[in-house]
Amino acid sequence: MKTWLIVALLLALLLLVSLLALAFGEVWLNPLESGTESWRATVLWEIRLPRVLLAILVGAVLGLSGAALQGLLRNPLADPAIVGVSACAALGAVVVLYSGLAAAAWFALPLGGMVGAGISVVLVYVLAGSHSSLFSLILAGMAVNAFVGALISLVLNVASNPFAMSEIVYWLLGSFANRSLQDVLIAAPFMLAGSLAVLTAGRYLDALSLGEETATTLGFDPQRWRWIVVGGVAASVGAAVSVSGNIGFVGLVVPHLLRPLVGHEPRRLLWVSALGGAILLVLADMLVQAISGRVELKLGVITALIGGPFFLYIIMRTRSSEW
Amino acid sequence: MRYLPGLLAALYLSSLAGGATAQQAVEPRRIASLNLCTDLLLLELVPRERIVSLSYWAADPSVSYLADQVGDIPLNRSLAEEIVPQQPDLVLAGQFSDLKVVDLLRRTGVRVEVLDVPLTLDGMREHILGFGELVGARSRAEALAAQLDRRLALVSAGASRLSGESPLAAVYGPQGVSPGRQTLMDDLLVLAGLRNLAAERGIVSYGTLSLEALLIAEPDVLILDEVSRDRNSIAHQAMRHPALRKHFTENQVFRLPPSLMACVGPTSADAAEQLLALRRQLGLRRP
Repeated sequence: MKTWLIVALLLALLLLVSLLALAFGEVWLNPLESGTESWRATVLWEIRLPRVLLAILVGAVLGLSGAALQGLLRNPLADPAIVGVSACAALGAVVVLYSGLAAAAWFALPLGGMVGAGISVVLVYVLAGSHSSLFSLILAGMAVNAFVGALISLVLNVASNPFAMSEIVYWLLGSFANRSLQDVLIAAPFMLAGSLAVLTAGRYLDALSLGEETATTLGFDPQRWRWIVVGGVAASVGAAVSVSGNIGFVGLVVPHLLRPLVGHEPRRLLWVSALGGAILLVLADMLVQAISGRVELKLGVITALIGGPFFLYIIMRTRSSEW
Repeated sequence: MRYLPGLLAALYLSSLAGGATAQQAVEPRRIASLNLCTDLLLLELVPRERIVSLSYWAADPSVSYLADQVGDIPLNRSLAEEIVPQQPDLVLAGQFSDLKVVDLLRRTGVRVEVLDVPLTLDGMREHILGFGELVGARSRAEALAAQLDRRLALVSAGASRLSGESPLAAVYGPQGVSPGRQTLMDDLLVLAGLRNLAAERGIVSYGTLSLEALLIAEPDVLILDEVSRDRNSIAHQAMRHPALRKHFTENQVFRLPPSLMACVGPTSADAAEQLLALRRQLGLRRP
């Protein structure tokens, strides 16, 4: 199938599920109609729209980052959550939020997330290297995740927040509940800028898939492009996590599901993974609202339920060839 | 089921009465408390020189209305190693206190009473009287209980004199938590002549209300429970959501100080009186 056709189909699907998500909630509201209820506009545009927009943006960022990291590290298990980038971003955001720095400037919270993400991407790159084995990448990610999870708990405990327990869960599993347009506005510029940077690296990733030397002979400066990808991932994932918590497995599952459609050229995979991630998170967020009981489930629960078994499946499938 | 708490309280009282004669001779002189609600009643009823320690919540003004009276009374974190050196002759705990501590203290020979701290107005009177008996402050407890009964009866009478349909109140706290039936808040709302949205939606005890559900129900007043609102937290994000600011005018929003809702007791009468005043205002505003 032609890539543009797939992109068009995914765009149409995204539009459809987004409209559905706007209509779906406590009561069914058709977003294309106007009604007389006093609360209608508030519910549609102040409560549901920010949720849907965040699901689209964060899903796109995570799908894209997963595809880009898989290309850059040439490792099928790379994903911002698995390698620890998301957790570090959450730590950065937690430090900024609970120290009260978030009130200092509108961009303080996403900045905290981006700094955290930036540190971890570099850390993973140094620890695992560009020719990482499955083993070393996952172990590095496990260590980073465990360590950073502990640090998040520590910061929340020191901040003596009476809701510490539930907020730790929020940062580790993510949620779009009760987000406002303001959250979208503070994070969107960085998510978009980071994603654009990653998308420009498509040709480099294509070349890289033929080997580092080939990429260099084709005229790419590996040093420079590596930093563009790493910086783009850090900025976009950092900003995304700072307003939604750490939503796992999206970056792992989406590129794997879509790779059969577009073949093995990373450049084409980047675009479709962004769209696929957005669709997945919009759907997952609707599912969360539909099945939650007294207290709303965290989004990461849904994505982990889908992604966990998938992760194991990929490990099993690649084990014979790599280990 | 409604009478169960009362029945339990009566059983509990009779068990106390049995022990009381034995305890009479040794009225507790060094009392420690592990629970905010027993802290507050201790401060109300017992001279401070007889208190050896209170839970650290007692000194937190966001939940304790007597925080400024704690002064130099030591604070504990429910750890046996803090309590034992204080050599209390009576330790008061609540039904939700850590049972391991209770067990450990008892093993060291300290007398620990685990009280069923009431969660609704139902058991308030019996609890205060039983508590007074336990700590050797019977007459003060009787006076306090009588005074609270009187104040709550006045609120109830005041509400029944108001005409018109009861306004619908939505109570909203951190994480979107809203108290439903069988909660102190529900008792107080009913007493003051207000309807409780959470109760009408079938929530028993505590549940969450989504922002959407809150707006769609079109309550007449939004009562915000701003527990520790000065802290930076995700939990309060629902309460700060622009949708609420946009939909409810400032005089549709009522802020009930969280310290009034922390325990069933003297503050419950204050809260009931504030809610009755709110009910009167809402009545005036209606056509």
